[in-house]
Amino acid sequence: MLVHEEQCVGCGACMPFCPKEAISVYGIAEIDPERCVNCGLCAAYCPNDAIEGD
Amino acid sequence: MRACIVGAGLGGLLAAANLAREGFKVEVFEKLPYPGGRFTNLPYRGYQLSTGALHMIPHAERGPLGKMLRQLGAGVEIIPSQPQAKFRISGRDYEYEELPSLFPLRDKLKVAKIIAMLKLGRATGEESYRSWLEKQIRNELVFKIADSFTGWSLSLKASEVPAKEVIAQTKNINKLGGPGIPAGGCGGVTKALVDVLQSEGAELHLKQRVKAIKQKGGAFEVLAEEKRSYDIVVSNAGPKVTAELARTILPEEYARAVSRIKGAAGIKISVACKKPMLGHSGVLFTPEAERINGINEVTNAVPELAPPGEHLLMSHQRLAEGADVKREIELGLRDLRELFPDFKKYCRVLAVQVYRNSWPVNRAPSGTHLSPATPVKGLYIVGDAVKPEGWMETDGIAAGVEEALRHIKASY
Ligand SMILES: Cc1cc2nc3c(=O)[nH]c(=O)nc-3n(C[C@H](O)[C@H](O)[C@H](O)COP(=O)(O)OP(=O)(O)OC[C@H]3O[C@@H](n4cnc5c(N)ncnc54)[C@H](O)[C@@H]3O)c2cc1C
Ligand code: SF4
Ligand code: SF4
Repeated sequence: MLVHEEQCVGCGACMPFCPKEAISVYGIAEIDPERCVNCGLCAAYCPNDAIEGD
Repeated sequence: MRACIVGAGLGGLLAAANLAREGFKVEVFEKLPYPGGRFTNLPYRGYQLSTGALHMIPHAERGPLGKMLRQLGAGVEIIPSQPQAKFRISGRDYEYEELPSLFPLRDKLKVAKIIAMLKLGRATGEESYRSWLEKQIRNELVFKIADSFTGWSLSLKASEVPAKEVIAQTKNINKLGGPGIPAGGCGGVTKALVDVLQSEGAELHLKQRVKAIKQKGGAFEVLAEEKRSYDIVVSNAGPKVTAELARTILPEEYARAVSRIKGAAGIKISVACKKPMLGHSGVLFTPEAERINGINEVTNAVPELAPPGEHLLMSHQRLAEGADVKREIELGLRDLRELFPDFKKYCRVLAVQVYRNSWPVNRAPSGTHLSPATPVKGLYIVGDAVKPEGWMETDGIAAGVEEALRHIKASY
């Protein structure tokens, strides 16, 4: 999954929905590729269209 | 009459519920998989974080939102904050009425006079709240207290808000009282409104983004997953997105005017606490902190927002345009450690959430007063960019929806 930095505001809405606790948000979202299983939930729950499947 | 509501944030849900009750055939389109926008819960590790709000309603059950929820039959209890607010100054917490006692005699009377003037609520010209205060007094602590209030409730500095707006807001606080916390948090309100929609037969379509709003033969044509026809459209997507969606029907000057509106930005830090750190359900204003404007601990009124025996503490700070966000977050965290010497022992940061650009604290700075009616008959705007004078946050949204309904009823 890819975070578009210019779209991400750091609102953290994606973080609680990740089943793998792969997202940390501190001003901007970062996804740990080791943990991410590409389920796509974070992208669906992002209000700012900032996450995309890769 | 068919009404299309674009967006299921608080503004959209309130408009939808009211119109459904008025007999409109209502359909709501929301692009996200959940309703509520920036006013709903985000469950995380047993705590109810939120998508935006600090789980407070400015005038509890007595303001426009409380009143509207009651009229709609949305059964949400709103527990009044007790006390409404405290101010931490030099390590001690003071009530609003105690503030004059903090000043040397020379300034004491001036502060008492300012408090009286705010209570009387006399309107002034276009000057900012800060300049208005500077005319009454020259005292840094007064300016800091003012900034903490406007920073907490509006994400602006006192120099960024018109004095008459703050005066009108304070008048409403004096008349109606301060904040309250809805049972279930913001999510409790959203859920109650979704229940009203259901019982009134309104349709809520989640995961359906509206892509265009056009007009054809006297009706509106709204393009989501499919194309449908409506008599009126109420947009909760914010004025800028609305102007884009309806660019073929809205005059260009209108789009240009709304594109110039700058939202207000802020940072919220949510903290899990093993014991109550404030011990009350009001706001703690922190005028002397470097960045944080205020803090609440909503679990003192609504314990179910945290696991049994634990507490949810939330801080809010204004975020200046162009500021280094990571540095601002660090300063906020440092404030928390300084405000609570035993922070490390009892507290754990759950989330740091930043609100700006397309997902701000406020889509229009307080004092903007955009009309819910657009230049296109039948197309209306609701939400946090449409707040009548004197009403802030979600009470402002409800007051704006009331105004939109007045326009709609006059024409349909
Ligand atoms: C940190 C913070 C703290 C706050 N604290 C408080 C508080 O304690 N008390 C209080 O009263 N207020 C508070 N607020 C303010 C309050 O949260 C907001 O004013 C309110 O939630 C905004 O509601 P809205 O309906 O205007 O917009 P939103 O909640 O943003 O709703 C708009 C909806 O429209 C949807 N949408 C957008 N475009 C489309 C499209 N093309 N098609 C379909 N759907 C679309 C969005 O997904 C969204 O769900 C706070 C805000 C923040 C950020
Ligand atoms: S795609 Fe799924 S697993 Fe990966 S970060 Fe997003 S929510 Fe987590
Ligand atoms: S929900 Fe979207 S905008 Fe918010 S932090 Fe996650 S990726 Fe960024």
